[in-house]
Amino acid sequence: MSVGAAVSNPLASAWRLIPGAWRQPLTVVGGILAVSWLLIALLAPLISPYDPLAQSAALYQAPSAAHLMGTDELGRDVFSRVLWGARISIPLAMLLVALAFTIGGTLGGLAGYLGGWVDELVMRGADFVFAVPTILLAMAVVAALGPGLFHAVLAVVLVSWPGHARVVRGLVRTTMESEYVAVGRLLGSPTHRALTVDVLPNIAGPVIVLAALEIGNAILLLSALSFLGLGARPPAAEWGSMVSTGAEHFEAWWMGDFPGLAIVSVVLAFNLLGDSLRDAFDPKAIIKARGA
Amino acid sequence: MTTLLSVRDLRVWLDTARGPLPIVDGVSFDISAGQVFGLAGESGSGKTITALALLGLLPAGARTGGSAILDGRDLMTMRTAQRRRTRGREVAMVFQDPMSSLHPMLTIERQLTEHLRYQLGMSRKEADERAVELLTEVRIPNPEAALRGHPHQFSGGMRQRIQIAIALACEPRLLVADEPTTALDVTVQAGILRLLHRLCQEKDLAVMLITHDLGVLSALADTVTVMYAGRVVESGPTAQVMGRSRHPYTRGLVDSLPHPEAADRALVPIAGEPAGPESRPAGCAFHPRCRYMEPPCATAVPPLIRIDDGREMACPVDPLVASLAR
Amino acid sequence: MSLLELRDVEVVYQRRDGTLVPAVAGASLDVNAGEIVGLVGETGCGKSSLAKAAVGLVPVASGSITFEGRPVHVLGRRARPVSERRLQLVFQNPYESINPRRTVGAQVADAFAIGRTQARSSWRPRVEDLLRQVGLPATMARRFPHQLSGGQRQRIAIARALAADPAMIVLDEPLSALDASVQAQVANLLVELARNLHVGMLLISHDLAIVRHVAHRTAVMYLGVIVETAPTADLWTAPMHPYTQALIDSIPHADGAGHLPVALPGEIPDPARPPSGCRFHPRCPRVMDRCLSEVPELVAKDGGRRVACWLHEAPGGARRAADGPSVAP
Repeated sequence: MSVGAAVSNPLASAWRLIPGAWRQPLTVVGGILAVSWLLIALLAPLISPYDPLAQSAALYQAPSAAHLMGTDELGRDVFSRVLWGARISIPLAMLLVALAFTIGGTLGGLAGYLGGWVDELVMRGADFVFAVPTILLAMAVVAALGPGLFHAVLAVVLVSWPGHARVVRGLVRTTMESEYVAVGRLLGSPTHRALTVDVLPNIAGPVIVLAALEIGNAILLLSALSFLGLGARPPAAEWGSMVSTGAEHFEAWWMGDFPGLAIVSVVLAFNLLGDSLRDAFDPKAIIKARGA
Repeated sequence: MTTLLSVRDLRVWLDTARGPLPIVDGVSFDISAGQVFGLAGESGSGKTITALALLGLLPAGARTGGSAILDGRDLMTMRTAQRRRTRGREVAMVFQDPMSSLHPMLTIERQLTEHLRYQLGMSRKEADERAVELLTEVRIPNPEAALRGHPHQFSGGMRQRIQIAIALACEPRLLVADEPTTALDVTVQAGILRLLHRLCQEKDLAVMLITHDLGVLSALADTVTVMYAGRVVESGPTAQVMGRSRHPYTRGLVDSLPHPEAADRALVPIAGEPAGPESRPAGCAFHPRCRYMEPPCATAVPPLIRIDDGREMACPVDPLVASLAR
Repeated sequence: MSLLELRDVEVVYQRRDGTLVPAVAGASLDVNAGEIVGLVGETGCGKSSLAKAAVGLVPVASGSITFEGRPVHVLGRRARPVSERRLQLVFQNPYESINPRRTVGAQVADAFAIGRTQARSSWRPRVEDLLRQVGLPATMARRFPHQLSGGQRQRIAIARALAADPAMIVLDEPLSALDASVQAQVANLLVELARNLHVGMLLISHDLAIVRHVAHRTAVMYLGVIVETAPTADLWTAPMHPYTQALIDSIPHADGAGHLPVALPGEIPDPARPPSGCRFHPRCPRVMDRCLSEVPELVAKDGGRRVACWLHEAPGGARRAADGPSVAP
């Protein structure tokens, strides 16, 4: 009993340091899943039992102790390929969201700050992108550029910047029109100071939430493009193309189901995380959780 | 003058993250037909929650205690269906903002006659005639045309009159008005106050007027109950409670208001901030702000004591109360 | 020369349907150093628009606004000229005029920090002084706005303005969002600040009663124009304009006497289509023929008063009206 107490005490106090919003069970699930996937992406070369490209085993083996998720049509270890897949999808999705945010956030910020024709131009552009179904537009872009993972990333950036632009523009506008910015301006604060002092802190929270949610979306969209043969090219271990190949080999269910599950779990992880972040970024909730 | 509604030891707890929070803590009062009963208090005093509790309109998770007897029936223990009928026919409510209680998309006619037809089973023609009568009653010019209008076509004062007409539709015996003039300009407010006064006189209607504005209360109410942090601190005839307030809180409120006759007299504010339910001090909730505070005030909740001039007050420091307690 | 001078100011808004609404239709007003001038009127009379125009938050369509003898510029994208920073504004709702995500100390320090490079901490003593000046403990500097009550927030808003070392503060309904017991605290604070710091104040309010206790002079506004200005005590004891009289009569008294206030018939007209002649004539109990067609000017009367009403047409005949008891100046 004394051992249990000694172990649980530091754990309990660490638990208490975590703001209240993070103690929700779904947040914990999302957090654990996301951290695990990040670790897998980082450590795949060390932890995967086989080379993801090596065609060393018998073809179409069902899952077994030697091959946890079986082998595919070329005798590659599906488990290793799923682990290595994280090294493609997750960093690419992060890069992609960063790019989309840089472009969308800048355009949206300019639109909100400058207003007038800049605003019109940016927002009508965003409306156009919103009007076309995302996957169709992405497919059209890749078709024009030629298939390939890099082009798929560009395509997804192109279809996902308007989301960031809208959010940032709305935040910039409402904050710049707020009374507290007016008060600051009357005190002599130039508009660029209002941007850094008043607008940025208001934007940071929602933008981080949006980024987390968008990472899930980006992974989904990238996998979809690869599934359609427009993204990652063989023999790369990419989840979307693995699901695609799996779909052609229906009897070897493990070929498609495991990479599919990987997609579901990583998207779910980032969505759960995004939702919890939304709660956590409410300043009142943060203060309350710290004070309690 | 008969007692219409008798509220005894009303308590309300609201559900919060930290457990049930007592918002209303043992409130008692009587409302008589043909009279205006005023319930005064600042934000956090629990005056609005008191009214919502009587009408059964509390938010989910709220718990109540005590009784509110209307015609021998207890509003607090009534079943939902019965309470809904009571709410429409015998007790009606008027809110601060008519824009949020009137439906923006429906004509005035529809909103007025719905009650008449649903609650009283009138025919369409009867209901229309009654609707015109009601709008005339609340002094809406050109009532036939007004019936065809939508809420946004009327000014704030007119909308408040329409809201009152709807409340009067089923000839309730008690009208609960929560800050009915707070959103209005003073010149318009005066008209609404006169309307409520006239209705009360002519129709033998009982009005429960809830407001933070002691001026409004003074103008209209026959009896006044002053609440602070969920409890009654002083109650009695308006002339006594407002004209010669005794409780340090009531006294302080009156002194902090601009005085009509003495312009040179400085405003005397009460120090500190009003206590809310989540920060209610022990003992007499007002004691941290009170100039006459004595040690027992910080520990024991003072009971309401009736004194000679027909008022009740909860202040053990008051000489009259002290002499009675002895 | 007065500290703040508004001359024939017009402020025009455009409605969504394109109609132009003259919210302020030619208003003139002066405020001197150390003086509190109350500007009273009902919803839609244009008092808030005039307040925003006075500090340059909204442009004027015509007329002029001068502060310390120099014209007040409309706030553009660039920083406000230093000479105008001594003209400040306090908004009605302290829940919107303070940034919820910054500590109140940082916001009070804004006026010091802007355009200077010293470390924020070097302003701490001055911030704490300002907090004490508005009646708050110095420790409050580290709090966030949501940890403060409404009255405390309004004090913070006032401290923020005071940090700019203002000569003149325009206050747009600073008391109306506060509880009665707190309202008196803030009202007294304003009087104290005007006296001790010799700050001029233009106090916008719908509440004539509280203005009476605070302002030295009071201006009454109706539908975009000023109809009467007078020393506050005179305005109350002997109002000259029928609208001023109506405002006073409609105030309920908290004296327990059960006196019902007097209502003014009719409604405030749409400022986009003001009535001809005197704008008050459709609701005026003492309307005459000429009120329907001729616009009364705001003319000077005895005792520093001005009134725009045909009842007081003769120059210097300020006491001729039978509105109330005559009071020797």
